[in-house]
Amino acid sequence: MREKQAPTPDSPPGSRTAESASARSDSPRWNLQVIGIYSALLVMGIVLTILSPYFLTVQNIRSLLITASTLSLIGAALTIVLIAGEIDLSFAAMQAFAGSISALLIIEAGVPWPLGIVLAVTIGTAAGVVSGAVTVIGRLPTFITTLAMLGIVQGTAFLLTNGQPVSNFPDGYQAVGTNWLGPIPFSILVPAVIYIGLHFMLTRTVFGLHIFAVGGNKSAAESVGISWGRTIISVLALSAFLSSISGILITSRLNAGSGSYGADDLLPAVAGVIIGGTSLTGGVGSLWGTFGGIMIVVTIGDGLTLLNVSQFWQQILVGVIIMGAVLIDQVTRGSINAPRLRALVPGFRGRKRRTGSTG
Amino acid sequence: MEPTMGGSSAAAATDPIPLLEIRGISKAFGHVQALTGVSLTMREGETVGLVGDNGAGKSTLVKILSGVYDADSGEILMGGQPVEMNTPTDALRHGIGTVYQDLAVVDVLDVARNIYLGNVPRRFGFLVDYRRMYRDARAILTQLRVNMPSVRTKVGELSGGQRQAVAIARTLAQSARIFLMDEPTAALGVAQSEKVNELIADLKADGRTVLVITHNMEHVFEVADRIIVLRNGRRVGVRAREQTTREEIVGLITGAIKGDEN
Repeated sequence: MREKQAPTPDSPPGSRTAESASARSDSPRWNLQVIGIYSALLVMGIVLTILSPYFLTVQNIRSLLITASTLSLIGAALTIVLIAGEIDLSFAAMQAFAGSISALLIIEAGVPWPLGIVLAVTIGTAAGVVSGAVTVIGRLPTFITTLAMLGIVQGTAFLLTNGQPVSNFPDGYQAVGTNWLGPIPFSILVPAVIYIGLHFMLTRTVFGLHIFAVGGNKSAAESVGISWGRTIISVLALSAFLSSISGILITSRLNAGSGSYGADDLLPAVAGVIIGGTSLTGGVGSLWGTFGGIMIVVTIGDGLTLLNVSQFWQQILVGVIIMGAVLIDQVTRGSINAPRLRALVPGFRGRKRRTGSTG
Repeated sequence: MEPTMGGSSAAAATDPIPLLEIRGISKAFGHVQALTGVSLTMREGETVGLVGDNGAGKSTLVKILSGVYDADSGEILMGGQPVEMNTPTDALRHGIGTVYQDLAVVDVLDVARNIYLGNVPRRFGFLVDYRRMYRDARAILTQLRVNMPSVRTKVGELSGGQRQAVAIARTLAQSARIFLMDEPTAALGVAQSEKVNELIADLKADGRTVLVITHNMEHVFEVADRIIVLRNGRRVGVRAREQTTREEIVGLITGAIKGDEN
């Protein structure tokens, strides 16, 4: 702070003078929120390393990253849909759907496993296209269309597997989720590569910019010729695509397709996305934020397990964290302020005192 | 009234073919006839004020010109050639850009992204050339003499006048020849409205053609070369600014003065 003193010492830090409007002020800015998330993660890591001798072991970090990897894929799916100003409730169930289809095709129908994977992912993506098309054609809220799709894909997954896990995949299929490339498991490598690609897509491509524009202000985007419909269909298809890949990775890793995959992923994925700073109202969010948020959720779970805290307490804690994160988001955006609280809570004064009252 | 006025550049435009002409435009929404046989012409470099009471059809006419609505009947001609305006993209291709009053900007995006919204500089067709975008955005703002702290400021953090400047800069970036401005000062304070008037004067000095929709008499007499009055979806008068008075225009708007024959 001492080095970066403002030219006029009496001007408040927020108000820049016109003279400082130069190339320097046009230079990129750091995303402070993302830095905050990773700082928090670092602090958590240090605390857990002190509390448990098992935390900072290769095995534990690897299992932590494997859990985070598929969560990051569906977290990325949700992040992108939220940035576009919509919601996808079907992403977790889509994992079970794609996994079950691959099981049916490969084990029951004897389709070669690479083709089975391609078909399963394609069918999953097609379901996303259907959600998107119904949303756009009917001008419906995605809350409804993707909830309907959640029912359809979850039910279909159970129906295809008769409610039982279907196992005994061929070796090649299992290798996808369990093999290693050098020291890195495929199940970390594949999501990592996809993740970097998605980040590039969001921050560098025209399509990525259109996702932000549509989510930030739909009518403004449409008035300059950006197609809301095409963007929403693409985004929901992408979400289904990512969830399907995540489903295949899980199915391959566990060597079983099941209709029940994904149910446990909803809470941590949503928590990670919200902690990561993605706004529920559209136009704001980042994949690095989401990855950090998911790492925080996964690390909390891992740490609490190492400290022998019940799984159920972990769920409660994650729920509390989601509430806290969205409340902080509202406060920083000014949606929660003293006048509103005063109107809601009898006797609440806030910081602003009534004039004339003696302090 | 003021024969030595400097702004008589429009007088030089004696060319027979207007830049933009609309003929007999009608538009109904259900049983409501929003526009009935409206015609108007705009010459290159001219600033035209479109006035009328609420519901007179001003916004409908602008939305037809900007490709948001389809007219039920009538023709739009650019340089004498009939053109189709089915989408905002069509309109832009013909050089017609619209500065909407409020729905134009995306608060969560920065100034440069807003200026190039829908019109980004690209590399390889699918990548955004952000470096060029930021450089060009700064250049456009400098050209407009707009004071903007940074082209990376989120538009949601700007004042009303600055937001309007961003919207105008966007239309400029779209290299529009004709600027349609729908109530550009409606939501602004006095000082900010003054700045927007300056921007319009700059556009005019730059040879751009501007159609300003307003119901602010002060405003229209400050910026317009000609004033077109709509009442109940019909064109009831076209007046050169030097040859009319505020009273006459207000009378045409309210119907106290009987309109011209269409």
